Amino acid sequence: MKNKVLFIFLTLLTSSTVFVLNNEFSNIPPLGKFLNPYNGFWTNSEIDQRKVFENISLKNLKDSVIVQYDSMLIPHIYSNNDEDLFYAQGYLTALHRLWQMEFQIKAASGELSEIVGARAFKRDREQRRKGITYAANRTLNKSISDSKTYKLLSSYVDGINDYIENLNYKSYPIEYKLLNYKPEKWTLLKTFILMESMSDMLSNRDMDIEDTYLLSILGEKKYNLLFPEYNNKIKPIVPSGTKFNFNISKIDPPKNKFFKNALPSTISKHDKDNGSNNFAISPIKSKDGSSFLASQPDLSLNLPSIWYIVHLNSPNYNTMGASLPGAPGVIIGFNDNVAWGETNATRDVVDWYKVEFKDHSRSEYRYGDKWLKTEKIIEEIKIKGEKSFYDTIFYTHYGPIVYDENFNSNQQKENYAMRWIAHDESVEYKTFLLLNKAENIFDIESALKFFHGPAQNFAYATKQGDIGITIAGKFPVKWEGQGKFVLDGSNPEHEWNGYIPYEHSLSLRNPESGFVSSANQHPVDKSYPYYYYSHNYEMYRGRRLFERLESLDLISFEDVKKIQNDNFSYKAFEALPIILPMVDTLKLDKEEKKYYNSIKNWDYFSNPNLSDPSLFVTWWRKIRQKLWDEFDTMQYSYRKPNSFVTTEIIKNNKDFEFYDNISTTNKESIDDIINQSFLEATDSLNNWKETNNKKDISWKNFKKTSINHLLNIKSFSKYNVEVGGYRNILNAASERHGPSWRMIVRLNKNDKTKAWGVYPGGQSGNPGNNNYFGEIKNWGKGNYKELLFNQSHIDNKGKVIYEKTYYNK
Amino acid sequence: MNFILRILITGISTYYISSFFPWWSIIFIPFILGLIFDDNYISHFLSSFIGVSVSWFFLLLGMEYQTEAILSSKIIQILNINSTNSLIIISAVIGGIVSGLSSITALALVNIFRKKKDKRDYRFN
Repeated sequence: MKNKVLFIFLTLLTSSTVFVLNNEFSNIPPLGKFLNPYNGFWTNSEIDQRKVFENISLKNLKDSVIVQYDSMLIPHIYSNNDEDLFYAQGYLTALHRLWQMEFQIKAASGELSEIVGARAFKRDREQRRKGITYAANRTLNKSISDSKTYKLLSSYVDGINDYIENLNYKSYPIEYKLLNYKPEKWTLLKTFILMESMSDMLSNRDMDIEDTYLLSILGEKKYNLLFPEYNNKIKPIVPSGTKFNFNISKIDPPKNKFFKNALPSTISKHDKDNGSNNFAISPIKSKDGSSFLASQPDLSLNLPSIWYIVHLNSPNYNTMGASLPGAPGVIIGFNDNVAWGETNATRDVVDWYKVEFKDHSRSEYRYGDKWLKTEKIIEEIKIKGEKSFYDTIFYTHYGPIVYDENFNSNQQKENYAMRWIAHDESVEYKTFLLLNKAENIFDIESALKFFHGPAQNFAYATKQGDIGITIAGKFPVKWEGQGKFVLDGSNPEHEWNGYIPYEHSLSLRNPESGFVSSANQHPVDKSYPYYYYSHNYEMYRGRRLFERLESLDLISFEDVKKIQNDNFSYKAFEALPIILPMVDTLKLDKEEKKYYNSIKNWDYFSNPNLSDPSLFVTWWRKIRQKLWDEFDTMQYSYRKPNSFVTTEIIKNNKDFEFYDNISTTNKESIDDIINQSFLEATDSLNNWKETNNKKDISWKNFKKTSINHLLNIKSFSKYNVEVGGYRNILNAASERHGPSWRMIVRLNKNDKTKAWGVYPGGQSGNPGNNNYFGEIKNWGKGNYKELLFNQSHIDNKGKVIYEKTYYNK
Repeated sequence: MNFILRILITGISTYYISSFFPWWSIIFIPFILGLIFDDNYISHFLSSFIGVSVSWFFLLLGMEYQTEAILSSKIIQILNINSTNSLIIISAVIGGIVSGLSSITALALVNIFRKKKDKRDYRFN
């Protein structure tokens, strides 16, 4: 009996030990599974790249394919047909980036809680309510009606799935092992969710609800002063004074156009710094008669990087550049004949309609003198370790009702439907597939016709010496001011009035100036016959870029590189001459005086080793805090005037009602604000020196640019990267944000096309691969590498670290 | 002798387990040895523990050497462990405990039948 009990006890003990070590508990990975030497995390270490590549098995080819890897681990794929080309692209991208690919889709579609638990719930619910998957499904249905696009997209999906099929626990990317889940099959829908997530990131930032509230408290006059639509200092993408060869009759705004509404909080917004710069230089302005294209997308700095560099070669294609893991083709890149790059066009393509339901069933809503039906969708949000959450979302003909009695609504339980251009069906994929094989400027311009969004400023240059820029995307026709504020969903006059025809879109071809450029600024001055708007046009980078290009002649590669890495702070250049003279230097002590004298002699370049940028940024932040402190008392969602407006107001107004600091009994003047802020700023810098045990406050240490792993795992991230620049500076590297790919292409009639690039990360997304942190250091220093780009794989001999031919079996 | 032989069998067979099997397949050899060899619980537990943990220790040490601890140095920060050596030891101990438990479970199973047999022998006498 005793032995039986012992046996049963030991059996239970052994099996429960195995069970415990094979399962995850409170975020600790299953230790036995994770730590064992056979297939645990140890086997994810990759020191020898060749061993990684030896596992490649392209088994569903139609013909033979040659794959080469250069020393930066960029794959060069040479195939005999397009299906094999995209199949291999899918497979090889998954080889380096599978986890990231899937994670990004889960994040976009609002399914993260399934993997990481309740901490992602809030985010997931927002994604569901925005209807990202709904939008992806519509674009998918439209895109697959084009059979050629469909075929290529499917080959790419097959490539990813063949890679996934090859995996077992041992070869799962490390993050799967850490979070204890498995990769799922890839689908076409996922590729479209990726595109919608780009739309979400780039075109889904609006302030309509905040501005509706601000308008109601500030009144129209004050609102327009603090949040102006345009200023004459702006250098728009299409230069002021450009004549338009068409005329349209303006739509009169309806009588009732404004509301007085507010919401306590609105859904999370993407970084306002999501922007970029690009420019093209014509041969007449370059030193050696080449045209140049430079493109630098500024996005969140993450690991694995948002971009994956590829070179794709088939009889139809020979293209290279940055691709998005999860989508076929090249997004920002070049081929032998042309080069192109995008910056965000920023324009407001999201509007909010207040919806009035007929009754509590919410099945019908008012529209004119009719009642329209809603469509009810129940979303299940799975949460790891908890019960699923079911969210009911009602769709109107505008789009999903994001805010309602169940979600973030105000006390009146009002309903707001989102009208977002990304919810419309579209075929933007075609644009990239056409761009990748464009031969001249006409090919490019006609490829852009198919591009609906997220609206982008496409800059391009060709071997023939043409340059151009087109603001591509689907833009609604609006009456003056339409969509700046919440609209009335029951009033048909508040509907969008169709779309701007492609022929009327903003585009420049070979302008006299010899260059085109964009950096998320206003597209055009107010003479454009259509109404356009964004609350978020950038006020500094565009001007700096324009002025640099205007002043330079005989431009060489080195000049282009210098512009991309330009650290000049236009903001400081405009603000300091106004605020510095206001500082009462007699009241400064010795150390404060030192700060003052240093910044007085600063040349406005935010270089990594200077201390002046740290002082300016801190000082300016404090000034804005004090100046706009009235806003902090507001009870609903709001925004504050931007730096440009702040500078203008300080410059033009000796007296202004917002100058007073409401937390004190005194009435402050602007001089008080500037002086107090200066002292507080020097104080906080001194404190910083003390706590960080540093003698100086060099900009790089103070700014602390970091590139974080998507799960924010510290040891998978890079901290304190040495890089200059900041937000509103061409070299836009701020704390967590910046140039995610720096590319320069030189096209010359008599020479091979040459390109240089660098990005903050590595091709391999595996933290256990020695390429994982990749070129971060070179990126920070602005050291570019010439990209290996040959029409034939034979010319790459000696420059690649791996080569193999795969055959159709 | 019996003890050392068991360590060698466990150690060598554990070293060559394929990555296609789940990690807990390390329990089978100690289990079989527990069935076959006549010894006490402590001795069985120790022989299996030592066999598997030493085997894992060397497997991991070899991998660490080859990969320059590129990944384990990052993992220790996630698991809050102070060094990669500790991580290797923890892993080896985990393997050891599981296999040790497995071998004494087998022994307990044998003992159920052995005692019965003993009793019968006694009666015959």
